[in-house]
Amino acid sequence: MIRPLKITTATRFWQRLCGIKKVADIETALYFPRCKAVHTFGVKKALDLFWVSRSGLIIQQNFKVPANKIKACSKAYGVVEVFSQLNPKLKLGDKIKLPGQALVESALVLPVLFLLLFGFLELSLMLQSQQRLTHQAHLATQILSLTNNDEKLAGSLLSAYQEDEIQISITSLKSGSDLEITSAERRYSDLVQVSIGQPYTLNIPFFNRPNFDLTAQASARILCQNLTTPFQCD
Amino acid sequence: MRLKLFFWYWLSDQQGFVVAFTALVLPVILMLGVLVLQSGQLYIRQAQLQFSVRQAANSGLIPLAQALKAQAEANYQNSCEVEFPPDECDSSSWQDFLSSTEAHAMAAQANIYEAVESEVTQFLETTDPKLFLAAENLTLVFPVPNQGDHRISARVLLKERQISWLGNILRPEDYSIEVEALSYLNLES
Repeated sequence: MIRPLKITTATRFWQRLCGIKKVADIETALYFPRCKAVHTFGVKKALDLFWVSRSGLIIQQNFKVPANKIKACSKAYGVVEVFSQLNPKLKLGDKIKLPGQALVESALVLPVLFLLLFGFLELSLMLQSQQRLTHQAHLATQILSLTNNDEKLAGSLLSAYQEDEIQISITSLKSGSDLEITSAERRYSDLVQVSIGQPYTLNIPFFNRPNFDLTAQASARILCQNLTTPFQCD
Repeated sequence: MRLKLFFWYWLSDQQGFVVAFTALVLPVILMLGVLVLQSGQLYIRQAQLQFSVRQAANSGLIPLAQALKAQAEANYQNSCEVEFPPDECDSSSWQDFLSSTEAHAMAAQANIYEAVESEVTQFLETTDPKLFLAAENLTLVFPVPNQGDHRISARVLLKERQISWLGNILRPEDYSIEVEALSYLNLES
């Protein structure tokens, strides 16, 4: 097994100009990305040069290059400089794990993960809105069931959704039949069906903000009576 | 432990580690996400069913209330529509013209039970078309015993099996929602 090299990347101008002679640790190799030629002016110890492709594959190598020399490789993407005394035992065709590869892979993977994260977050928020709508529909229907008063139902919903846009629909059905009746005709034991709709926009990155309506429905029988007990309408 | 560390060291040294690691972890993340979303969906469905069952229990007592009221009116006619009615006849509450013994005897009749059961079933079928209502899913207890002399109660239990978004990873009973509601009619005015 090849011992992995400890590699530093020369990215800044000053780092690239001075080269490996400014690297304090003799065990550390220096990687020059986007480099097809290097010099060894001012270097006191011999260097091994490994010319690599973009993926880190060694395509050319120069061993024990003394000071004051210039070496080049036109096909290389970058070069890794190592002090010869380190003897990394690399040969042509070996692959060097260049720094920044994990970063590139992470850059590919992270958008997918973030998309998933935001997607789940947004869907959870949608479920929360749906839960709130369902709860309000139940509450409003309960109020209507006990008061037989459409205004009280609307008041309950409007106080819960003060600034949000909602649609309210009330259907009344005669007890024991499917005959639709008006609110004024509604009496004890008749069925009321309340439906609430709320526009919702999904905010998922890269998607075109899909709009749709969340809806909640609830039904109950009118339990209050206008004239006689057991439950008096308010 | 050493073998694990060696494997991890070897794996992390390979090109494409992040992609491979993500490919391994992604199904787990997706499964957890689906589990969370299904939990939310089950919670909402549970709230809907709880409300439906509560209203069904309330609704189920309407035939009983109407029968009791009719009996109270008959009793009123018998005892109050006479030349010198007693003082109790001034009451406007029908409960004053029906004894609790009489009311409990009526509630124990088979035709009243059938009317209550029919009302509960009809309410659930009408108001929740998504509900699959089989005999084993719905339980009605009427009248509920030991509820006192001045109260006649109905208890409705509903069980609904949900479809798992994750197949059979969890036990089927984990995807059943059970809700229960108790409603009562007060015999005291």
